[in-house]
Amino acid sequence: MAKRGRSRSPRARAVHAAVMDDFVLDARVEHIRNFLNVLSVVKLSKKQHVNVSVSERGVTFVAVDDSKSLQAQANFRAEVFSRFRVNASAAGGTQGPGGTGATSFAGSFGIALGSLIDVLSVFAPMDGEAELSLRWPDRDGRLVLAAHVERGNPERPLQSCTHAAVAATERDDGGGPGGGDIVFRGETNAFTLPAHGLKEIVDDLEWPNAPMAIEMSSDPNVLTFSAAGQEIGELRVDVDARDGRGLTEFACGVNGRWLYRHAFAKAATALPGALLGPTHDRGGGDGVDAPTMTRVAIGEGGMLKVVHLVRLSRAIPHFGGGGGGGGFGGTATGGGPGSRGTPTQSATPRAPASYVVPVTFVAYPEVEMSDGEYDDFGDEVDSES
Amino acid sequence: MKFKATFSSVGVQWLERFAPIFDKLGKELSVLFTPNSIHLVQNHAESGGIEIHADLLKDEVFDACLLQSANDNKIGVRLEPASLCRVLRGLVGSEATHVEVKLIKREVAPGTSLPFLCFDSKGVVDVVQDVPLAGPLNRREVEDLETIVQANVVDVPYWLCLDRAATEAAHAAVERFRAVGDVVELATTKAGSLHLTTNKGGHVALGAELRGAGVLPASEDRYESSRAGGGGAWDGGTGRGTGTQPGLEDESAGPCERLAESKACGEASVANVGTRTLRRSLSGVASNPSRALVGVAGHGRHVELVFRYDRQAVRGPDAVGLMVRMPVEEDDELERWEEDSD
Repeated sequence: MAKRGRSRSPRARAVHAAVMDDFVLDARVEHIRNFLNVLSVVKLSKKQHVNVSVSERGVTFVAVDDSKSLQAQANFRAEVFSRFRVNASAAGGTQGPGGTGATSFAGSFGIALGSLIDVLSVFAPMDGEAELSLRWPDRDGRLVLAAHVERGNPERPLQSCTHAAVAATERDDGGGPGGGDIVFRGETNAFTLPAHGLKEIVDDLEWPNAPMAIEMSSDPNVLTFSAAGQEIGELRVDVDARDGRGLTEFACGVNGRWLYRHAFAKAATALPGALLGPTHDRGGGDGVDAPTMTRVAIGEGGMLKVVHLVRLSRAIPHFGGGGGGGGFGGTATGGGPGSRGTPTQSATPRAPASYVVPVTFVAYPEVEMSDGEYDDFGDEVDSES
Repeated sequence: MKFKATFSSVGVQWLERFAPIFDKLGKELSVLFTPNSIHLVQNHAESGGIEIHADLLKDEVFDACLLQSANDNKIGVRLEPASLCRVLRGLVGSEATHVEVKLIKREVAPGTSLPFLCFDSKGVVDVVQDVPLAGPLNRREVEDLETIVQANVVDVPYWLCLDRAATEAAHAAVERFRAVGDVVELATTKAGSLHLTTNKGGHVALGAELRGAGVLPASEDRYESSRAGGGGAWDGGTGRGTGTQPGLEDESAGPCERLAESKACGEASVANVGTRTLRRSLSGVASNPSRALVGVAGHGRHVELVFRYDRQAVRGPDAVGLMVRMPVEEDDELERWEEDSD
């Protein structure tokens, strides 16, 4: 893990010596635009609140929708950042339960995701030109963002600094790390396919305006998405799940059919184009050009888990993408003919050219009822929230 | 009243640069022809909150110009920027080599004739295009235009000079500021810093700071002294201790601290302008200026923005300019100060 020390400004130290020796989190983001894109995916509702937990292993953003039955989570591991420093001792009173020594948990805070996204969009045009510095907390407990660009003659450089502070909001679940989370366990079935493929299927099934069903069985392997509406009738998408065909992974422990609210499925697959990767594998074999893959799992009680392995590539194109095969994508290591990576193998000893950020959605299944009952149920949930 | 002119080789291009900006801002545009200059003007109401005018020397735009009127040979007309844009774009597109423009009256129906600006171009194809007008404007309306034109660039103690890239960056930033706050606090300092900050109810603060911009006139430039720390003219008398000197140590402080410092020393000129106003004003950057000057007019009554085209103009750097005057938001000021002090 990259962990470099840096002395704080003398002034800041003087002022806060007693209260706060340092920021708990001090991170640099190189690919601002993708960072913004990933956070936009996690935004489930208009006034989305997210819990951000900071540990030595990385930063995790967790959002739960208003009905508390869909959860989105983006996990930025420490190596995603060009610099990542966590100082748990600076957390002081904000230390969560179980945060002593044994775990790497350093602190957590809540934040209005919409505000953070608004602010990040100011930084986005600087992608590739500057690094975004993320620090938390300042003396008011805010998340502080800054990016510096310097140019012009050295005598009188033109220094521009974009800066922002977003106030932390009250945590509304009262729990420690992971408190109030929707927990997925007991995985029985799973399959993996390119994210854009899943997105297309889910978009196609929007039409019937009904819950989306996932049906799986083994021997022979069957994977079917369907939605049956009153007016439209049933729309089905059969995915070729035979061994060695369309899917990279297919595991079916329990044959069955599960229903999910279409809005959830849509939210869970709505990656912006920039995060989908190329829509077909160009066969480069280096993994960098591979499309974003999505793993869908079904667990205990029909819970749905969708994990997008979103690749954050460096904003500035690097040569020697050969290093990229390491992280994710054992699928892509085959090495197509005419691979273009070979001459520059030695170019980047420092890290892979891209990192994978898992973006995870967990949703409760829809209980199967007649249509009328379903509507009532839906209204009830809405009015509660 | 007579107006007939032949465009210079760059004249059409100049107008074609400015017309789209006015088109974006509003539905009406006044054009004032005087013996020496041409002005495209939008007042407060026409542009949606700012006073903006492009000033061009007559010689830059026209090779030959015949201008006669009873009002000191000045003619003002009002037209739709969209139709002017369309004609100018057509002239550029058809690669017209010789373009004449004249003020005409054309009979549109028996008994009624309306004024037009008639563009007659020769080139690959010869085209005659008319832009319908309201006007000519009467003496008072022309005077109003002149007032707007002459109002700028007075009573500004010093200017910050932003290059093209910095202007574009500022425009891009303000574009995004909209999502956060309705009012931007704009501050300039004689040390060459420009601060733009906004906030949303105290929950979100967002700002952009630019340091090292040029200061005009040069006699007002305090960049060196602010960096040296201690030796500055504005720092000398305050007798502050060594620990809080601006200068090198200042680098470690954040932009907010630097702004607070400048304000405390009375070094900053501050004005609150509407985010929308500022954004509209900065849209002038689409005219491809070489640089932009920003200045808070005396006592913070308004903010002036001047786009300069330097060597792009044939007749010298002063031949072309785009001036913007933004009103400040005075009502909010008190509240905002109270918020800040909380």
